[in-house]
Amino acid sequence: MSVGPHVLLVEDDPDDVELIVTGLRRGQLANDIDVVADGAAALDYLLRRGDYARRDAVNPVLILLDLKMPKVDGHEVLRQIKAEPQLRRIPVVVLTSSAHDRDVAQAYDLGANAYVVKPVEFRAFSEAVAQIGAFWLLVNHPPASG
Amino acid sequence: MDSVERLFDTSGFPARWHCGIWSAELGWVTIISDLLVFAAYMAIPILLVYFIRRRRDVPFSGIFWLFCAFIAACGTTHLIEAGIFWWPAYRLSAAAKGVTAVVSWATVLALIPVLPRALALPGLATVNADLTQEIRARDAARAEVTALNAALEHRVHERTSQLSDALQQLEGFTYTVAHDLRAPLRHLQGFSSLLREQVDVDQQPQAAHYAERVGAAARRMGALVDDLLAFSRTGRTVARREAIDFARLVDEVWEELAPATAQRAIDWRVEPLPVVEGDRALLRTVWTNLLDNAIKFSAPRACAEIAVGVRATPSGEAAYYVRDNGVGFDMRYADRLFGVFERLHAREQFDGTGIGLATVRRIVEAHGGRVWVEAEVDRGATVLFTLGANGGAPA
Repeated sequence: MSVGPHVLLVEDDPDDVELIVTGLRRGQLANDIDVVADGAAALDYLLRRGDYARRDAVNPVLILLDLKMPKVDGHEVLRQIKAEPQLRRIPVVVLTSSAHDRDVAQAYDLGANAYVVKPVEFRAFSEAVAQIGAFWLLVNHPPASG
Repeated sequence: MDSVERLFDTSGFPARWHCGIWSAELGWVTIISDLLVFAAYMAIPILLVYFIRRRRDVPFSGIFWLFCAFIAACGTTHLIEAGIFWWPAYRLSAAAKGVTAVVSWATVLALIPVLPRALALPGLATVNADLTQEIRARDAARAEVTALNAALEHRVHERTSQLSDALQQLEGFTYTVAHDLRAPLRHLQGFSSLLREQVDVDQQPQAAHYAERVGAAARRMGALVDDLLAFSRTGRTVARREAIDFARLVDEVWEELAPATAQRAIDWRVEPLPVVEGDRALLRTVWTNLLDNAIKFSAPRACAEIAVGVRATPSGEAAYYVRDNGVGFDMRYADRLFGVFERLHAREQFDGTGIGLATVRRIVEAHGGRVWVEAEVDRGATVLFTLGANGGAPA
């Protein structure tokens, strides 16, 4: 676990995890990045229960959330995050391969702060991730954490 | 004149009242009966004549006239008999009876040959029965035809919905596959790119080269998948039909494409085009693909000439075309041109996945039209398309 302003990445595909983390690093972002591999683990982490019961009581300053995941899927995680008073101020950027209007609409309805479709081309992907990180971690003023 | 006087001569005979012992009763019954018979025998021919005149289609009408004649003649004999009670015109009576005899036998003789023919006529009941049977047979046949039609209609409907289901499944499948391919593609591109960066091109030129080729292949595959996705979305029937100013649409597309050709000399001409009916977004794709091709394949020319217009086909349809003076191609391979991912030039010569014309064909055919090409190697190519019945009138 990490302290200091950190990012939570919720992504089930290990290849995507590596590429996203690489992209964030390229954006010169020094923040720590915690990774969870499915929606259930994401909720455990955020609510500090189960395997993450002893995590420090510091919320991430940004959540990057994939939608298509096993066990609990992204929409459900989003719903619960935005329903929880302790968590709902955390900016959530949905980062997914689906461009379906239905998924976009549902994500925004549930309170997502942004929706980014993972580009196939790596340069674009890398830049998109770097831009996301730069905006939300440097430009955007985060809510008070905790 | 003499014989006629003689006919009416009553000499030598007493009036019947005075011949025999006639009671008033007997006499008058005889007279009145004769008179009534006379009246009836005159009425009957009149009725028969009325009948013949009304029903002009009566067969054997000659017989009817003979009947009229002999009945009337017989009637006159009864009149004379009644008259003889006062006026003994026995000579006249004899004459009348003679005439009646002749006409009667004439009728008999005329009737004999007619009888078999009359017997041969089918009775009304028979005719009716035959007709009724025929009508029933026809009705049954018609009912069968209707039933067969309905069954056929049903089968066609079933097959059509089966077909359209299969088609939808296929398109859904294409879309799903294309979509699912994107994630591993992303990884391929990503890691090959990172690999390329890791390799010092001076130290390991071969490794760098391989990493480069892997990345390029992944990028090509990405383009194919994207095109396939877009292509699978252009299928189906035309969603919307609106009136489109074709000339304006072409200009819009050209303005989008032109900036990329700023360095080149292109002689660009657009003839007046009519207003057509169709799906604006899809037809825009058609023009974009065609103009893109024209621009691409005329790149080797010092001065490219691209012309857009419309001309009438031999069958009177409006054929819209894009003509370029580019590298053209051999018409022998023309039918391969519209296949998905078919290309007639090497990748190094010209970029592109080869889906542009396949997309054009799909869209044009969805509008009810057709597309074809005319080209010569090294002399350029013309791609023409019609838009079916609603495509607008020839210029």
